[in-house]
Amino acid sequence: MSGQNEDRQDQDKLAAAARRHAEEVSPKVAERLRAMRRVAASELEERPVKSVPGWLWPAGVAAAGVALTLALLLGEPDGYAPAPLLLADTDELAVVAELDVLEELEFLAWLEEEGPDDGEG
Amino acid sequence: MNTFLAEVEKRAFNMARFGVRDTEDALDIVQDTMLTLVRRYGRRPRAEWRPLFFRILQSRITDHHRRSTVRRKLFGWIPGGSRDSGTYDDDPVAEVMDPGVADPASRAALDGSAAAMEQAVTALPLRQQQAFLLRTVEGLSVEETAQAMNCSSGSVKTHLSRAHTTLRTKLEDHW
Repeated sequence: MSGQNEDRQDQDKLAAAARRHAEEVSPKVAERLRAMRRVAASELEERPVKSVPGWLWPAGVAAAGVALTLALLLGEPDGYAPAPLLLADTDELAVVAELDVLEELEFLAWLEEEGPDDGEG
Repeated sequence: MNTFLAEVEKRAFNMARFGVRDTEDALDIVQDTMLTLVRRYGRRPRAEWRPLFFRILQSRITDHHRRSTVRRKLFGWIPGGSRDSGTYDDDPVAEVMDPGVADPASRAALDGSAAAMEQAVTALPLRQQQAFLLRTVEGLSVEETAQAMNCSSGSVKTHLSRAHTTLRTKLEDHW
């Protein structure tokens, strides 16, 4: 218990000594710090407050509403056509479908030639 | 803002000087910290300024260390190429503070124990030094210190405990 108290006292002494020392600067450095502080503080005073005027909010909301309405009303422009690539894709699909039909017809013809299944394997 | 900066500027300067071991670099860091605080957080409530200020300061000190380490790695092979004001992790001799680095006027004003304190704090590894200065000297809470150092509260306690042990050992003759 006394060991903990000594530790505590040591830490307090250490902190007090460090705090005293942390405030020590030469007059030259102190002057430069003062100058820096003045520049920084004056910058805050010179900067305008970046707040949006009250009247601008309803105007902004109205403008956004008009833009949205126009976008919905106009929609897609007239004469809209799919891209040529899509047309080409459709043609290819049609050819494939025709091939399937042809294969099916060939299969049916072959089946007819083979005759009815007599069940003898 | 002027009053707040006046309260912290000297401690901030010494914190930076302990960290970077160069008066001019320390002044640059403090100036940059002040301007960043004003420009980014000047309109925030006053109660938020202190933790923000020290967070920016620690970030600048850490950046300075990183740049110095990169410079040392890049130019270390050139004789004298690595001699800058950064840290010297692998050179124990360089861990001893150079008396010529600190401002002669301020050094003359220091008595023996203050000089020993300065030397002991400067020789601490950066993270231990930051934890000690922010928590013990500046009086930030563990959480605020952790925020400023960008680490966990547990790490702060570990760094702080190690710093206290080292400083007690080094400074016991001066008490």
